[in-house]
Amino acid sequence: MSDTVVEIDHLVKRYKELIALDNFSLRIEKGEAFGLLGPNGSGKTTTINCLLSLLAYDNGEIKIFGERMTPNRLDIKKRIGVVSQNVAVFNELNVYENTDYFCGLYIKEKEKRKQYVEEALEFAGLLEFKKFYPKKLSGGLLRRLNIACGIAHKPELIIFDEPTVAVDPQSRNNILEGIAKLNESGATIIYTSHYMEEVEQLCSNILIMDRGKRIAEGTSDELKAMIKNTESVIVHIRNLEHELLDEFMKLPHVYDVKYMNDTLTIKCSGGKHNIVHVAEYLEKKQMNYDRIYSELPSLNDVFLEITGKELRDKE
Amino acid sequence: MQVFKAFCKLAWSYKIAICIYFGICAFMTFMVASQYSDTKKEEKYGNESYHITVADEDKSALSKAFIGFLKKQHTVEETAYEPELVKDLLYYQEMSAYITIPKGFEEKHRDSEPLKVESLSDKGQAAGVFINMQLSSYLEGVARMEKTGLSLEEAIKETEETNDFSKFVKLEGKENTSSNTHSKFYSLLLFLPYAVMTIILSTVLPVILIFSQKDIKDRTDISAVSNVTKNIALVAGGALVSFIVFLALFAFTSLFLTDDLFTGKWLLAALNLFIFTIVTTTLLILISAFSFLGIQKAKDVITNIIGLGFSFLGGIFVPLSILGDGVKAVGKFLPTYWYAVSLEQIDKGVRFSGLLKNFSMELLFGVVCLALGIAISSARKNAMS
Ligand SMILES: Nc1ncnc2c1ncn2[C@@H]1O[C@H](COP(=O)(O)OP(=O)(O)OP(=O)(O)O)[C@@H](O)[C@H]1O
Ligand SMILES: [Mg+2]
Repeated sequence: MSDTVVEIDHLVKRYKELIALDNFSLRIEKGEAFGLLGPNGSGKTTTINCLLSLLAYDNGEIKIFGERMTPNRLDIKKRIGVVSQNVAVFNELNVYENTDYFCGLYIKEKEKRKQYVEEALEFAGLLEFKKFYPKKLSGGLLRRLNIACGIAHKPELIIFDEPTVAVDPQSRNNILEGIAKLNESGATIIYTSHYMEEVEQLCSNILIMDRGKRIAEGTSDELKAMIKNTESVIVHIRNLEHELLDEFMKLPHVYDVKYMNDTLTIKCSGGKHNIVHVAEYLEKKQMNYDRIYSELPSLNDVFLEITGKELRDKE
Repeated sequence: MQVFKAFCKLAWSYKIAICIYFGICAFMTFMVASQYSDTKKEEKYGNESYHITVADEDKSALSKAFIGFLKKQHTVEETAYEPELVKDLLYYQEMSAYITIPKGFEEKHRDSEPLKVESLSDKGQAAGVFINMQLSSYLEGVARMEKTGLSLEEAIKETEETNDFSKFVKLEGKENTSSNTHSKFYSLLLFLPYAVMTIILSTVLPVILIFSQKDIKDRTDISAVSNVTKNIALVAGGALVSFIVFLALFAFTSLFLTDDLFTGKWLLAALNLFIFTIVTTTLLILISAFSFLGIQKAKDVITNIIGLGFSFLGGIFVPLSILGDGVKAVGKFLPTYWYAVSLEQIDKGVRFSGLLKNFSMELLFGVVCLALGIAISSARKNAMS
């Protein structure tokens, strides 16, 4: 038995002219928390749907638990849990009944199912809401119900497709912690998102994708090491003359300087005391500034540097 | 099993709609049944007693016997009034009828001339019709007896003994004067397809549509339950609900058909409605094949269009005999039409073998629906991948 849980090989998926997945490949090992990071429309959900045989694809091969995945492989499906991007629950059934329904698609034994449903509700923090109907739940609770329905049958592989969309930060943290717990208890996780912070917090291995193509893969640190930028020094300063920008470029390790909206961004590659150099220079020139601080690169910078665009629109 | 259970739970969540529709149907049944209720029938033709004035100018044995016969049931007053007064009394309903027995009534009768009794009564009224009928059947009875060679007295005696006039008249009245050309059996069962269609469409259709919503469908498709198992569960759920609806409606209507219970006619009517219920279920499969068009929002409109449209065109609301040829031509493509035709024939006493063609036409519609539904669904599936 190999320990590879998911293997996608040169997957191609077209929607008419649009190529949603372009020779896309990935491998996920057992016990991993795998992050699939990409902007809206990059093909994350399409990848998941192909993986689950919900969508037919044009080319490539998909193996789960070492076996070829087809729509009829109920034995494989049994071991997978899915928390879909869109909340898929019955408005006519209450929280308990919904969880019981979806759990029952996998678990036939009544007693066992009852226990599993209770555990899932506890996990999602929905025990007090058992009798609530979905219409009465807040957005965050509804997402949590969606999660409870997806994980109740204790699957080995759990796929989360943007489970935190439209969830407040508090609930979002709860959800992320819960997923981390599932991972710790042995489940392999696939987590898609366009929030780099979430993926960074949760995932041991991250794949960045754009327009159906793989951009880069590795741990958060590995990804950041791939790019030139190691530190950005940011200065809030008013009425800076543009001629001065070239002066900043002459400082050690600096490779890019931008000034917009009274904010000066100085990008550095290597070097240890970049912020000190900048501060000293400002001192010397007797320029007054409001604030100065340093930022380490984020996955957004990785994405920006590789594709030339932001990971997501500024909100 | 899980899908089936959820199906039933979802269907049950439409219990209020079921109750409303069932209430409407129950009301309609009451209304139709009340037109045929026994008390009302008697009011029209039965043992109702009227105030009758008789001016006996003949004073013969026959006229006296006749008056005696009337007295058995009615309040009879023997006086002669001026024609003007008669009109007034009739108008103000001081009396229900005024009968003049002319001189030589018995004589003319002896000469075996046609009997003629002048009766002044408001012929449009039930009383007038009723009294006239009693009158003529009595006199005809006497004449018939006399023809067999009996004397007048014997004929009168025989007529009064052997014939229960009220019954005779009642029977005749039912056939001659009823504006309802159809029996209670026919009328009560005729609108059941409308009830079956609306109740099933408003409970089973939304549930099937919920299961075919993309999110829910995808979520079920990726689970450990196969598509075949799921579809079987959905069909079984739909069939169960439909069967319950059929049973409830037919049983309820049967409460008003106590005379026909468990007769061959009753069983055939049950079969007719059962076949119609099956056909309605196949219609659901066809409609739900269009779920990808987002018909969820339009489900109430669809329910009404199909329920009302099929009922009008198929002769459920309006008897077949009144329908124009154009409507009939369209109706022939609908199961409601063949249901109505079958019911009419069942009411007339046609046996099972004679109904086979109608039943086949109903079922044919179902088969077409089923085939189209499956074809559309699978074409859709192929187009997706
Ligand atoms: N059914 C479809 N028909 C045509 N195009 C589609 C269909 N589904 C998705 N697409 C296109 O395929 C591309 C990838 O979509 P996908 O839903 O996989 O993106 P995503 O990464 O999940 O985005 P998001 O973060 O918004 O969920 C998009 O450009 C989208 O417009
Ligand atoms: Mg998506």
